[in-house]
Amino acid sequence: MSRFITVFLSSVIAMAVIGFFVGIGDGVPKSDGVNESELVDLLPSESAVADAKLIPALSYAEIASTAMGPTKAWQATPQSLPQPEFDLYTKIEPSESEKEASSKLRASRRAYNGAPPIIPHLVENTNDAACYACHSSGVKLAGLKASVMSHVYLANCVQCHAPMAPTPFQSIDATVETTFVGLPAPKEGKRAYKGAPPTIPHSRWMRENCNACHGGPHGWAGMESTHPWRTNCVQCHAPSATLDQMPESEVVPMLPPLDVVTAEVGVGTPQ
Amino acid sequence: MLAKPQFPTMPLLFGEASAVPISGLIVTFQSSVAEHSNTIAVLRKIPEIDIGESAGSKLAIVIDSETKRRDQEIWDTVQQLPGVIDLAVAMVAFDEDHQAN
Amino acid sequence: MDSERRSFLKSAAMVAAGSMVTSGTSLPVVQADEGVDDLPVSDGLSWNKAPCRFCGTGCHVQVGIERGRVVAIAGDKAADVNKGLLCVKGYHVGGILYGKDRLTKPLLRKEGKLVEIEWDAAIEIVAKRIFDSPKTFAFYGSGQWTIPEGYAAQKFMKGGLGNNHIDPNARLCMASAVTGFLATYGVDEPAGCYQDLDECDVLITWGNNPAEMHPVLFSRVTDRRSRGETVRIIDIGTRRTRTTDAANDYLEMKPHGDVAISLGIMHLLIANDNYDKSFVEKHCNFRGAEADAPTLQGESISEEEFRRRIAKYTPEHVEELSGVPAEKIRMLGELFGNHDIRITSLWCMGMNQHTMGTAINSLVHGVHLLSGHFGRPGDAPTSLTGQPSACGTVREVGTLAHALPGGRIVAKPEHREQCEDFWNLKPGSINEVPGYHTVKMFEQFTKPTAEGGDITTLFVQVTNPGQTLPNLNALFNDKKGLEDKFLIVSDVYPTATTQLADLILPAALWVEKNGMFGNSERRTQQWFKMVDPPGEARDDCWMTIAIAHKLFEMGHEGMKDKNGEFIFAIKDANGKEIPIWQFEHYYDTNVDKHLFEEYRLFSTMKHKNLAPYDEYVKARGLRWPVVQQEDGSWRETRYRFSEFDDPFVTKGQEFEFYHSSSNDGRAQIWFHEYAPPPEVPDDDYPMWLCTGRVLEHWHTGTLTRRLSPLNRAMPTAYVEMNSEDAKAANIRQGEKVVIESRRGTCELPVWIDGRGRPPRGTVFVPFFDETKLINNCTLEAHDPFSKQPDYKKCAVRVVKKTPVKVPS
Repeated sequence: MSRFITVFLSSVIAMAVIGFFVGIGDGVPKSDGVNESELVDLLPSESAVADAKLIPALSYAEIASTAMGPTKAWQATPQSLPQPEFDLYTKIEPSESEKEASSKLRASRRAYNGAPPIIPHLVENTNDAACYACHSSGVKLAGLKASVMSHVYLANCVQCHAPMAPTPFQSIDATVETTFVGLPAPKEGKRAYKGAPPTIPHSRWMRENCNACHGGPHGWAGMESTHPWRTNCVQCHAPSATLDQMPESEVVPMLPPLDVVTAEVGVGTPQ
Repeated sequence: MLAKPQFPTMPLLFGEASAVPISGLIVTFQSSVAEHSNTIAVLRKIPEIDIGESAGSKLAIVIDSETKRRDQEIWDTVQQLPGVIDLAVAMVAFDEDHQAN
Repeated sequence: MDSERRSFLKSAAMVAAGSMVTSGTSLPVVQADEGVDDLPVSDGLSWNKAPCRFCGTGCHVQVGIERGRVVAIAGDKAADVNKGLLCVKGYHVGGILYGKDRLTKPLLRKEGKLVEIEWDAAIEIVAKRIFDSPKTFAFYGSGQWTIPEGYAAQKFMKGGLGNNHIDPNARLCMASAVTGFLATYGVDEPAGCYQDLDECDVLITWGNNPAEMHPVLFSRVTDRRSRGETVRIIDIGTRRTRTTDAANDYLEMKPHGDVAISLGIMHLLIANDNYDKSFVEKHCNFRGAEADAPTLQGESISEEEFRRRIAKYTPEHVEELSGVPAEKIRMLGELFGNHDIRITSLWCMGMNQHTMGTAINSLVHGVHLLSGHFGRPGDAPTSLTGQPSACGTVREVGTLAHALPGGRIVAKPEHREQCEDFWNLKPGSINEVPGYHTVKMFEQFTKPTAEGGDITTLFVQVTNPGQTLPNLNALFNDKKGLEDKFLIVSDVYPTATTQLADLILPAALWVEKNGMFGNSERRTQQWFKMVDPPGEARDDCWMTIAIAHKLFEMGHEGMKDKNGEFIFAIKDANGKEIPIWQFEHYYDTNVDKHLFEEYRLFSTMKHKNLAPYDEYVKARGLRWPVVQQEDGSWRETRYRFSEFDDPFVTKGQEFEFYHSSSNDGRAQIWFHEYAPPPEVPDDDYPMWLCTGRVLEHWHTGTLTRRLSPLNRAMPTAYVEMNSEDAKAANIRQGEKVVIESRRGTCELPVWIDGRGRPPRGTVFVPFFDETKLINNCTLEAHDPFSKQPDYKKCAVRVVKKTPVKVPS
């Protein structure tokens, strides 16, 4: 329980501060009104003075209403939340079962491959800055992983990503009866020959950041690149013009073939 | 050295360089080009103008004049010709060597 | 040396100019996309374009088809509306076809039980009821009708049956926007387009929550901020929403406060003398309502009179009426007085579902006209629509009780004549008396015949009135038990409406048929059938034509044109009629194309010119007027009434309102007196009730509640309450309460300070949930001109259901 509070606290603070840096309104989760949380009192309030260490309390009576807890100095170091070490050159060898579990989890969050993933947690009373705090470059905390945004920052995250049901309605059975079968994730790209770099088997639209899934410390198990130190992915892996909705032509346009004079007419008899 | 062709969007560039410009322009008429033979006859009379392709209500011309002043004069004249509703620049090339000589 | 170089440069210049002449790139001519309609098939997956099935934004999607089923959706990068982006509904639109309970067989109610019947029998039952009593038949459709579907229904009713009882659900949604446009400009639909959202400096949302209801358009604005641009968003509303979260200013108003605010802005523009005098002098007239019998046209008033009437709407008085502080009204007045910035207003249901709907629409147009914030990109009063073809089908095809296609009305003899002419009908075929509007239609249907209820057969297509009508107990539920009343419902899933239906017809949906939609920015869009409908589900358009042909066979005179031919006759190349009324032959030809080419003839009178069908096949929609150029290409229009873009504006006028109701090329700046809402909270019913929508669900949820990711995110309707109100009533989060009004009740769980945060004294309920019908409570009071009901305000009380529990 206390570990959970610590985790929650740290993420609340991280959100607040990064939200401040990102500069988009107030990244602070708002209280839900009824169940006034004690956490609110711990957040920096206007009454906190600039001095990082000094807590202003003129009398004991005021102590209860005085903002305490995180000091400015501590708030300023959110980036140093302990993150597991990531070694770029570690050899990645996920087992088949790990791969399968990982891709199952991934598929469970999408109606079809290419659909924006649903949000597997609550987003009540939070806003874009709060999403961005964890999902801009990914976070691992207490066994939970925030995946990395695969596209550039776009406002109004929940426009595309459907959240979990709001707290009061969590117990409602929301299953639907449908026969819809979504497009499965591609297993692999095509290789021109054994050992050739595979083509990219999915659209690159909204997936400009290959590392979101294929690399770095927060990629999907089983999808990681075997060579994360190489950064220009499309240098070797060819995307698909069709999937990327490029202008298409029926045939690959080529110059007309060479006009070679055939043997019967030409040989030995120049005219 | 070959002069670099430039692609301005506004005729402002006429006054910018000291070189004498060669400009490719698009004249837009109120209606089909064929209906403005009088105006085209006037265009033909201006020695600095070469007349090119036309399609619909648009006609391509090239102006190659000796001085900037003359160029501006031609521009103004063409704009005021009957039937002309728009004059747009497709390309302006400055011949710097010519100026230097 | 020189001459060679110069001649090279000359030829280069000539090539450049010549290529622009021939390609026409200096004009914004729409280029057809290469390979749009059949992207190459690879690995069994093919992609095809279609507009999204949901709201009026009109995003284009790419539909991924594999083995005859939709398996994936992608935002269409070639679409100007959404530029590759979608919303959470759009991304899952493919799943709407595959709910397990799709209707696949015609069902007839016999002795209270539904039994499966054959299509032939179903069509015959309908035709027979119409044949026996053509005058008491009514057709209720929607803004989700495709353009050809609406056009066929329109021709069938008004041309074929001479019966004007045809009205759409858009009456509940867009009617006041229409009357607002007509009163102001003399012709319907917005002058600007979505480009305004890219160019405005200030965006004002009037009782509008685009962050949830038109998210793709709203993020088009907020994404500009992420790119470093400055856009000031001002949210005027009755509760805090996700739009408020993104707004720089939130102006909380009392219900009907919008009327006072717009009057207050105009008052300040005049008092501060910073209105756009030259624009008003050249392009505007002043207008007010007649004292005794107000009409939509009103009467001309002088500028002096306008000044006299508006004088009392000082910021202080407006504060009293609207609850918005006087300083904020002054802030708005100053913004509109500043001609160096661009201001776009957005509104949707807040201003339309309003007993002063016509008035408030006209007033906000008036604010933009008086201040001259009109007609430049970014300066626009923009009315949004909630259905994919509210504009295309309802407003342009005119599937309303008083209208005819292309902006014509049944009351005008010359308009009827033109339509009879286009349709090749006998003179006098079209009835001159307008039919019943929605509320009246359902009143007459649910009233016993003996008491004067003179609608006995009602055919409902593509909509769900059993959930969306206001005051359901009075307007819908009373149908129960009326033996001689017959309700026919064509739909894709069981709904609140099919519960009372006597005959249920299974319909094809979205890409299971050909179609065309018209979105909020005058953009007409086309798609092709991509997959087969399930079971025996069939196209709505086919149903109308099949019923018409059955009547033709029975000898109904109206189904014959002047030459005795079937009114929907389509002939092949050899002049032989194609039996499109037989479903197996319906796709022998493209019926949509035939109907659209016929409909296109109607579009030029009001300068809403449409291009030929094949142009729409190539494009991601085209905004009318689409006018053919000298070189044969078709050019769409982004800005109407502005000389720089609208080909119909007289040269040199800068702006011209060429359908002006005063016949002088001018728009009307209206004055309307503020009036209080029709029902105000009192001691018995102390709370305001506002109804509306949520991001995840679309309208009555028939489609979106069958999509797992959306239903998971929003599984139930709820009542949103202010925490203070909840505390005072000892109501806890998630607790079930009963909302009671004078008309009915609805039981809902409470969400305190939820997604939206109403102020004290207000509750909000979304209407998407068919198991929690909030329209049992709403009021059917409606706008006098548009007949659109006010769903946004009535008086209710919140009653605690469970006995008080002591918190442990």
